[in-house]
Amino acid sequence: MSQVPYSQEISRQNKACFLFLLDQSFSMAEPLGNSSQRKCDELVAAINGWLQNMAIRASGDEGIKDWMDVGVFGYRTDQAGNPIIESALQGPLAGRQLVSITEIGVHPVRIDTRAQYIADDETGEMIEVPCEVPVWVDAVADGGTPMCHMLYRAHEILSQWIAQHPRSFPPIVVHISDGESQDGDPIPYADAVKGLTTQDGNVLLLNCHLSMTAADSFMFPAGEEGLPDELARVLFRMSSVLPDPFYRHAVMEGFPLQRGARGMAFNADMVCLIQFLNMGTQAAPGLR
Amino acid sequence: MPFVPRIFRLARDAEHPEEYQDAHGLDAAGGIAAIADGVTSSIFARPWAEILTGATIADPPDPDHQEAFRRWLQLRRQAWSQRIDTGSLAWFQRAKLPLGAFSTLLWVQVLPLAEIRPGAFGAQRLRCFAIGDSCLFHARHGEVLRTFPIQKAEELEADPLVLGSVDLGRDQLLQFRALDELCYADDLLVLCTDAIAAWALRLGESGHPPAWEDYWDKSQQEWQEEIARLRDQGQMRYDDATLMLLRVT
Repeated sequence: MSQVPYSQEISRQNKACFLFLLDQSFSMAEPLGNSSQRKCDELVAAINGWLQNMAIRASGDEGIKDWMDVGVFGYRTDQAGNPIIESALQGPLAGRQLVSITEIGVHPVRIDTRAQYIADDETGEMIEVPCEVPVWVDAVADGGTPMCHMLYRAHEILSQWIAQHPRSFPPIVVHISDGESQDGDPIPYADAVKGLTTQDGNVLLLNCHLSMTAADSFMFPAGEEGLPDELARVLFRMSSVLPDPFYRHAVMEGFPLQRGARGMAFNADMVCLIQFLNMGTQAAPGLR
Repeated sequence: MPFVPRIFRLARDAEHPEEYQDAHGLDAAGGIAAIADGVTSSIFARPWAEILTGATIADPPDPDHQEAFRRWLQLRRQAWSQRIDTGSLAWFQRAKLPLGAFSTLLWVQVLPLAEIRPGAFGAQRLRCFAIGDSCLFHARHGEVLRTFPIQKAEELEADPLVLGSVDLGRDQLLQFRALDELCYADDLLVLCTDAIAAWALRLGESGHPPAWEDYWDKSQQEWQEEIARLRDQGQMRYDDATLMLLRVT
């Protein structure tokens, strides 16, 4: 392992890896707290936004630099209760486990045009300006929550990736769900994922819980005291302790963290979700 | 000729030199050299860095006079905009274009003294202007006399001030740092971009500063191999690396 963990610079030779695990169960069709939008719609908007930002960030004069691999998986069950664990990417990238950020940039499913309002420099009046919004993932909400099967699959995918990239910054897994696992205790599976290592450190597993209620959200708790319920405590135990670069970055961003803080958000709304996603990436060297 | 130069360059990714975003310019006979570090995350940063260094050599800006500097900068922005073929851009490039490119800029001028000064026999005037974190190390007889504008490695952890290729309404925040000192024949002026500066400052703070004189006789390949080794060992950040050595004559 590196002398200073989580310090490997991200480059073509030492690519980063981000793996998103998206709850696609039926309850994701419910509205997200403080919003009239469905959780699944807000979630894919955030994921598509993240992919867009990463592609833009990696882009240069000649195209998109191949600095990272990305996977976006969804999990749910069919009508018989069998787990469906599959890539959520659509279009030319459909069915692919991990794709390079270069392919992400070149192959959105479609580019929607939405109205954006910006202030006119001279008059200050708000004017409508069309903006391009690429889409890679569409909303799905159906069936149950086979969280353990998803984490097991994540372990397989990351084991293979790490074998090919042993020196890289450790993969970052971002798991977003709105409820409990329905196929067993997810903690041992989460521990197995967190137990995977590159020479630069352990895989990081970050968990974000989306809520239908408008209850207070909280991020990066350092202990189980004060957590509202057993679901929160399970997600806490599943989540990685934030390594030093992430801890320092979060503090710089204004989060009131204590040492031992874990990569977890609970009762997240859209704002919290986007902050959570951004924090997971900006702390990695070379991605700032 | 006020100085004799040696230039070393290595892209962040040695296998993709086309992605190198630093730039340099010099007029050895005129005694002026410039270095710029294009911000990798911005778009078309290399042309912007090249425009800045080229214009600095041909027509050095006057940071002491704000209005004159703004006019100078506006001309450079127009030049950058004219170099971009917007019709051929992909969606991810179109998204970045409104913010434009960003770059640091540092330049040195070695000039005759306007008047003789007691105790300064043989001296020449060294002027240096900088915005951002490209760095000057002024060395004499193997010892670093001063570093400018950065004094400590930790200063390089923050995002630097940069010049933008698009007017985002923030030009009033631009502040050049200025240095006005004496230099003598055989002094070594070392201009470098921030990855090298950070490495050198850390070594200096540990009591083992780099032996800048040793680089004078290195070949480009020897130097690039050393940089690659330092990167692999984690002693130097993966970033474009540009080193200009100017031997004062």
